[in-house]
Amino acid sequence: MPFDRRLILCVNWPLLGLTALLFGVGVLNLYSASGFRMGDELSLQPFYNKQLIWGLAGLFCLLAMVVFDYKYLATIAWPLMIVMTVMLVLVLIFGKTVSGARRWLPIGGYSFQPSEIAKIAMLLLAAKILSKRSERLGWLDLAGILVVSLPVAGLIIVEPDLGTGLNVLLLVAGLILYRGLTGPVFKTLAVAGPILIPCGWFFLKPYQKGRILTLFDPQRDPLGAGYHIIQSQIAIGSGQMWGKGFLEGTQSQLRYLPEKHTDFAVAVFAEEWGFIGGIVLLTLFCLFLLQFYSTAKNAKDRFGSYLAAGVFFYFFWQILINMGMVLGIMPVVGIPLPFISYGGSATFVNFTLVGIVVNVSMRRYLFKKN
Amino acid sequence: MRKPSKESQQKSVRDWSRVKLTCVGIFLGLAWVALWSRAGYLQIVAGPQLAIQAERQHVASEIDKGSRGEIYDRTGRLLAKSVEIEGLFVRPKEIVDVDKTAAYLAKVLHMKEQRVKQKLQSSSNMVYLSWRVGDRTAAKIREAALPGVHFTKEFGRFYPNGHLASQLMGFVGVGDVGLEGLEKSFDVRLTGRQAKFVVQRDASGRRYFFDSQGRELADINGHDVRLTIDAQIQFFAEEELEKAVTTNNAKAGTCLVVHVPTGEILAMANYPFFNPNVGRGISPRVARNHAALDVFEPGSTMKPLLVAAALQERTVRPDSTFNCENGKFGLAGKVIKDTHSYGVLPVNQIVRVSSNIGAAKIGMQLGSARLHGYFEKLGFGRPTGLPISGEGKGLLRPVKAWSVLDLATASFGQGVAMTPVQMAQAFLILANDGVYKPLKLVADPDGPAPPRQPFRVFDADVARTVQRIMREVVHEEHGTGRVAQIPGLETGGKTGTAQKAGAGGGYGNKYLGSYVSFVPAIGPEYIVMVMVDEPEPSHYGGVVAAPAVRDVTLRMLSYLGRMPETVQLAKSPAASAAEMPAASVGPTKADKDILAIAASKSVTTRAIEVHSVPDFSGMPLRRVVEILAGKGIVPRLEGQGLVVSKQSPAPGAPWPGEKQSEFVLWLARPS
Repeated sequence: MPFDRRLILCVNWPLLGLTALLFGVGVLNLYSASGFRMGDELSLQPFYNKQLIWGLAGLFCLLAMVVFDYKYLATIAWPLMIVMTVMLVLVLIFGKTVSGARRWLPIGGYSFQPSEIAKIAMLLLAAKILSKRSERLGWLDLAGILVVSLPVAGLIIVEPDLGTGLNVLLLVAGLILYRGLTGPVFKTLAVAGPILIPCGWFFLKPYQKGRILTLFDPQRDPLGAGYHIIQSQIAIGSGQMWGKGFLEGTQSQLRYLPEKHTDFAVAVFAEEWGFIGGIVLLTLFCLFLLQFYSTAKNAKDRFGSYLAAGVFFYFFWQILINMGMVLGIMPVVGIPLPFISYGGSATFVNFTLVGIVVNVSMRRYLFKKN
Repeated sequence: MRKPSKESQQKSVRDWSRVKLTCVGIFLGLAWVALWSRAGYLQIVAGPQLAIQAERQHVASEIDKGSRGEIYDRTGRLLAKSVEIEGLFVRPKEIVDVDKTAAYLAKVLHMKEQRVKQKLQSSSNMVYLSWRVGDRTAAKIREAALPGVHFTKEFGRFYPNGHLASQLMGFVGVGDVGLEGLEKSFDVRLTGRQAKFVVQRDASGRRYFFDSQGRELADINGHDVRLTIDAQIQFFAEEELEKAVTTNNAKAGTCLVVHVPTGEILAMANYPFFNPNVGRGISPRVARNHAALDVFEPGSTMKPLLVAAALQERTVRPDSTFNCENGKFGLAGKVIKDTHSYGVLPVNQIVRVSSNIGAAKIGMQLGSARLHGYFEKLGFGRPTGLPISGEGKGLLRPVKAWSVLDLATASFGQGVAMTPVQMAQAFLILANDGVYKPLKLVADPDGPAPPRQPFRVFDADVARTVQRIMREVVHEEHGTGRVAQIPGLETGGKTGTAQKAGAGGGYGNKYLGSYVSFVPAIGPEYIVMVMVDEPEPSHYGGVVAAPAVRDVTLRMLSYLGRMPETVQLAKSPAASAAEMPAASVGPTKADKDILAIAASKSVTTRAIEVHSVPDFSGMPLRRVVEILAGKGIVPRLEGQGLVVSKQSPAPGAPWPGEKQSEFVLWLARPS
């Protein structure tokens, strides 16, 4: 592949900048969230520097994702998906159980979450399949894509990792709708959806039901299921307009805020930086998402467009659900906030996905077909 | 998400994709608006409320009390200390099982179950069950982990020496309030400040102080008070006073020891004692500091003061004589009596034999105005200004109200009344060669300001003359204070035997026997005073009080290392060797003092045998070992250093036998 100067010129600097900015905010926030008040001092847990290391590793991944033309991603989509499906099966058998969930597959001295890579595989595969359809999706097309994605999501959900499973499903659903459905299919789903979704209630585990119920009435179990929601809202609300200041978040330092470096990390941010900080962060996320949006819009081919759209939905749902959960308008589902929540695999995947989109966006003028 | 709209279905692909993207954009926008507004609602609308909630969660604004200051004696020995104890309270609303909780608490707290239950069902937010829970009980209750049962930090007052100086110390009531004695008068200084302590509490209930407040912690504690009292001398005073009161079937007694050069009170004892550690149920009556609060007619102890006034006013000369009327002297329809009949006596003998008639005549020669004037200068009729709340000011009627008889009786100490402390103050002027010096009870430099500036009451030679007369009381024939003699040491003294005024105003058959002593007689360093209230059958001050004064003096001097006994030690071969220049350790100041006393006393006083241990503290180890070697004792040494800091047996205790070699010296490095 001959090197083209335009590649450099067309690098999506805003996206890279926003990614770096969000990651920076995340590490800074983790630095604060790592603090536990012990006696007169804050004792720091090493989350922020671990996250930093993961981020640097992610950056290499991002760069690796940029150097080749993304069209090759289509070719590895199937093999990757098959490998990941096998691994997802393996993890259910040999996986390491951490706090009741088998999500980790030990390989060598390390362990990793196949579900994270599965998300990438799902994205590539869904983008590949959908980009081949020139028409809107009929029943068969829909069935085809669901046959591929549902087992994967199911395997993840039974780990159990409802958050990641949902994430995969939502990514696929977003892409399906982005591709568009034929009239009858859409109409049927539009009617059946509202009927079927309540039926899902019966498949939920009691604690999951509890989480949904507490969403409507957090006080029904203030020390149990409602505790997360109540504490998170107290932390955020007590930040008020201007926040308590960096490293001054009492609710997080005094351990009231649960999961403060993972799912509820943004509550620490909102407590310390207030509404103003929250606005800024949400705006950053919005701009971040708009980069995927415009990449999807301007991509030179459908596969690229679907890749960008998939990444868009991937991040969009995560941000929406996590923020909604932390703000108390969505049930507590273990979905982290990209770049803000601590998580090695997630950070790694996030950077990889950004890399893919950068790849798509920088090649939008090359060999443009239409 | 069901966003594609139906009408766009029929449009071209290009339009369709634009609509699609717009829909995504709109959805994104809506979602973000939702998030923003939710954040806005939480942080701006509900923010203040949630901030309060957060604060309520993690900021425990507990009222915390600093601990009450400690009280020390002059050498730093602890007299009163606050210890943390735990109080128990319940929050009735938090209690889950009232019956079970009540039954358990009643059992461990030894309370009536019905009563506990009543408190548990109270409608108030918190109810105290006990102000003092023992450590074991507290641990048991904690283990039971009953919801709604909480502990608070309280302070209990602890007096490590039991009844020592109990009336002086007073006691502390519930809520750390000084109720009596110094605890009351120094309450403000001793009390720890109440600080609204803002404590951070984490989710598991651990408490953390904020940095700034943590620093303030030290400041809220009460200030310590350091007294001029010497606990050891106080102990001697109390032991001898107890002996004097009990052997004479008396009701009560008081003993005061004052260091003349500084005016510092070294001991202020009252008998009967009480145990301030009991806390509850101490009646104010038993805790009353008679020495400072209650007035007595002093009786004959007034005479040296009268003579000093008369000598100062030159109405008498030391060799003036008065006719003592053979024991009966009619005046204004009353008869003044002496216990023995005397004829013509010179002034010094009037004091020595304590003739009331002689005193009355001296007083009448001096005149009401002048005598009254001296009484005022001596501080009668006004409190001495010691930091003792409710200090008595005595009873001194205005001079206009004095009849001739009043003048005469006042001359031998009747019809005027004063507290023992006031008496000590008056004698302090005499002992201090005529110059007023305020009594002191607090050793701190920032103690209370003296009530009056020093001023001269008597000329020095007048004071010295009276001191000589008081020496005669002890050492010359017919002296009433001969019982108080200490071999080898000249002391001065004056006995007092006052008839106590009965309820009806007349004088009954109850007496106050007292004795005031100057140690040594001329240029005194210490005043030792004992009053014995209502002794029976003997009531003479020289009999009931003088022995106690003598014994207190003896033990005190022994403890202070001022005993003539050192003469003996200096003469022993070992000690003499130590004095030789060859000794590598040069004599310390204490050493020099002892040597000086030894040198002065060895010539002038008789060698005597005193069976008590001197105070070695502050002395070089080498010297002490040599002194002990002279006694045939090999001490056991504890700690490191070259200077003795403590010893056992304590100073003033009898010498242990040679076989019983348990003589322990604790060492310290010289500071």
